[in-house]
Amino acid sequence: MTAYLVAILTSAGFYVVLALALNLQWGLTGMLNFGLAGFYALGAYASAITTETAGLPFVAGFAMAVAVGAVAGLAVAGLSARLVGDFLAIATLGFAEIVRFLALNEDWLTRGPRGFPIATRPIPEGLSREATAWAYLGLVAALVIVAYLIVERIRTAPMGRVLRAIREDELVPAALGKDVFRFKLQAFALGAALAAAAGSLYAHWVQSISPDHFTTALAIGVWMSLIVGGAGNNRGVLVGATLVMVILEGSRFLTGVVPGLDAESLSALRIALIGVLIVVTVRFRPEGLLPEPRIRLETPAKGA
Amino acid sequence: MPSLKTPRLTRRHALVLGAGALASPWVARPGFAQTDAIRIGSLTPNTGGGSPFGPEIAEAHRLVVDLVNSQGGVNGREIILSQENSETNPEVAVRAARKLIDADRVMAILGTWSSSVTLGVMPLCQEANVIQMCTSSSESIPAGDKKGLLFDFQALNPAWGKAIARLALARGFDQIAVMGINNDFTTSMIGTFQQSLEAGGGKVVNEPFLYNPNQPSYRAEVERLIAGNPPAVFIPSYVTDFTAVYREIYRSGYAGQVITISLSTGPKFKEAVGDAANGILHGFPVPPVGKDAFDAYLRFVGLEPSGQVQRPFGSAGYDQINTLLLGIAKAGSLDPFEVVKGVFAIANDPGERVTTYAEGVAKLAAGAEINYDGASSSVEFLPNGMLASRDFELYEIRDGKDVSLERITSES
Amino acid sequence: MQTILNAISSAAIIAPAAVGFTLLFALFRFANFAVGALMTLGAFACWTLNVPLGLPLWLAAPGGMAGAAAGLWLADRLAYAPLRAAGGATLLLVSIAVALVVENALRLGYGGQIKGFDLPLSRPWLLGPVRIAPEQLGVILVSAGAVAGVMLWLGLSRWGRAVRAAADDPGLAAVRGVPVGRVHAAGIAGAGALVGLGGVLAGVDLAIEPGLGWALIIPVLAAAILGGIGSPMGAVLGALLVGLAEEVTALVMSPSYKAAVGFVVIVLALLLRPHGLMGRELVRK
Repeated sequence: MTAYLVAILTSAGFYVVLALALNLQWGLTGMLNFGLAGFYALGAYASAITTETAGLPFVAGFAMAVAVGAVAGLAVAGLSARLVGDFLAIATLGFAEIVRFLALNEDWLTRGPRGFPIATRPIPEGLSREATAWAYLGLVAALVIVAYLIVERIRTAPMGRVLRAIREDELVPAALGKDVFRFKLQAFALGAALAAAAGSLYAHWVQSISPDHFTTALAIGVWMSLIVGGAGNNRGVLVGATLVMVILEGSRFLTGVVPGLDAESLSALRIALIGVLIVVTVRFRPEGLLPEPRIRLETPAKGA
Repeated sequence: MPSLKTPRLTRRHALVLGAGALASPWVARPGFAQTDAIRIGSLTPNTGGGSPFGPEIAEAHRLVVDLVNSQGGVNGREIILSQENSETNPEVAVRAARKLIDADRVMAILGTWSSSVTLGVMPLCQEANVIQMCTSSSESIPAGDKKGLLFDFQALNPAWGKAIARLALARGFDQIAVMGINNDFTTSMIGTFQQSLEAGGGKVVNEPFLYNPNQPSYRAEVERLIAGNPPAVFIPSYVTDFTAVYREIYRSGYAGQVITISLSTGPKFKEAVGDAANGILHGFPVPPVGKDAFDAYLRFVGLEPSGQVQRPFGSAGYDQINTLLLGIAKAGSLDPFEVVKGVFAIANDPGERVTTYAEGVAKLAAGAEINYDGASSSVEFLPNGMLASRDFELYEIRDGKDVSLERITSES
Repeated sequence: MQTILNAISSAAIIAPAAVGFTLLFALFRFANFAVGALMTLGAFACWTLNVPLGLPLWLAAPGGMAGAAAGLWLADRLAYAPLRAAGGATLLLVSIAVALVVENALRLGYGGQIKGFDLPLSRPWLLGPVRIAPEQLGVILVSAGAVAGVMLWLGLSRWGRAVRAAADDPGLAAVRGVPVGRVHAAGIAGAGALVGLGGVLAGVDLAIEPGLGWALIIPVLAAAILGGIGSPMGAVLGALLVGLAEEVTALVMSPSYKAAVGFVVIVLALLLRPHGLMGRELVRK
């Protein structure tokens, strides 16, 4: 059971990093990114290709993932940052689909639908199963901490105030002489790089990736984390991602006690239950479990 | 426990009977000691792309386990079956497999269907010495199984391509246009189909191409496929997309021969398109219609053998759980590597033919060697855990029924 | 010619749901992802009347529309209405959760096996170089009729005008004495019926199964956004363009990239016209 909890915490860690990235892009800046799974996939594949095809160590794969993620983030944001709200959402959704189609169709690079086995591991060989699981949890925790510190630092820095101003009304910071476009670009690219970094570590954790790993279902889980936890609030994101993982995984045990149903009905019941739990959570906490501190500037003691 | 005898009604009945069903699992459980239970995991695509097939695999696992438990278990040990839904999604399946391995402590995971899921959970199974039994046909599956823990109950896809090309040529079709659903299952099938067709003097006309599932329309793909009016088209696919594709082909007025795989032409397809299904040629390695073991399986899950290809994966799920349990009985231990040896021993020649667990275990107890002959195939494994050979049958749909045309044995 | 006809056929399936989606967006200011699942619900409701109960398809189809409208109303009561004040992204997420509930409730009730209407397939008529199947023509006519009907209703009837007023500026409409609550109900009924019809039309072409909606929601969304969200006419135009872009891609390029190219076209169109082809900036909140 411990090993299972460790694995689930590790999974939750990836959701946390992705949700933090999304919090930077949407929670703080108001840019709807539905293409998160695309950046995650890009990081995973960039890392896999670097370590397996080119034979370089994990560190190189990780660095490559971050770089590719940032560049792709810049490109997507540069092309579409002028789009507002839902239009940006569809553009980014399109980006994620294009990444998935590339991974599916460009066999020579990504090994296509057959899947990409990954032998390179960021931890020493020869550890016991238990120790390996803990080592990965340690690595993911480190990534979570770094991501949290980065996003939290931005949130409390002057840049965070500009980003929030952009979120509320772009015209205001623009009128104050801020280069809105550049701020949006930075926030989006940084978020994309974080997502790609998570993708890299994820790829070397699961040791086998395929286009099916990076579907909209994943993005939905991350969005749930952010909204359930409280958009704009990084601690809320931690709580939200953990809670979402508890809902996703805990429901396995919950449906286990419903007897007399076949496996198909149980599966359907479980997913319907996940839907109901989300509706109920949001219904009673529409701002999230830990809402964004509202008037931080006047009462700095309440925030942070 | 009516839900076991009439599995097709379970869903609705269970909802209605809710309260009555609530108590039954505990009533039905014989007095096994919990400590020495055999823990087995079943991970099937109950939702998502595999949902037309996953439930029948899950059901076969469940019914066999309940039956064997009611007869006293394996070597006196109770079997505890934990069932999870892979959602046909490897990201989810990895977490479900973690639960099966680390929380339920299973010794084997049965029933993975799409190759991306089978390959996705493979590193976990290898690391934890968990046996895998799947129905996936990607060519990269044997390579990932470094420890020799995997049994595949599906022929690898090159075998399919060869067999169907031979059958098409035998029917006089040598100009064939090809499109397939975009997944690992079809990509190499199309390659070997093309090679075999060309080796036999035929030719693939137009450029073969892949389409993505879950599309709102397949019109453009069909236009491209039938461009130039080829005499025959071959469409490796699954039932959900093929139903839409075939409607489009029919409505486009294409009058040539449509060839596909039997996965796409089950009873539900025939219901959905009606008489228009007549004339389709389809080939498939499982299940051998009319074989006694297959008919016994159908009756076991509450269906009547109808002379049609049905439950293509449920029959494989039935063979998975039977061979695993017989393998455990043979090994007399739960050590995964011993069980693997046991599975090879009971599945492959030599031995007396058996088709059910009860039959097999009785002969084992009498000291005989056995050879399990399954509902989906003869279940003979190569040393790498792949099926050694497969009977491959070509059918034509006539009057809404599958009529067998020819049977060949294709080597993997 | 054939390509254009094919694009129109594809658009005919997407258009009613896209108009429904855009109406809902205009009224409630969020992208309702449950539209896909509600299309599935409409298809299943129609199938239930058509196959097990044996009603002819033309009688069963209104049942499918009513089913989807009832589903939408229920979702609104239970999930959306209490959250009217929340942001668009929150409601969007809730609508995805609603979609999961609807899809899996259907799976629980009907199982995952595919289904089809009792509608024999027929061979096409040849009109010169163009082939058209009777069902295809039926789908196009029904779709066009329904969309035109809704346009007329929005443009001419008192209720339709009230819906448009509430969509343009809810605050102003309320001040001017438009009964916003009842207008919302009318909008839900109208949009739900359109969405249900879209599901029925999709069921004529595709295999009916609980996950059907996920194949449809992206093109519906794309058509509505491309056309300019909130504009029913734009949604129809968007459906046509999305259909055309995909058909042409599949013919001249690899069909594997069909959906991806559809997206590229949408993004390019949006870059040229950031509010969609026929859209205006909506008053938010």
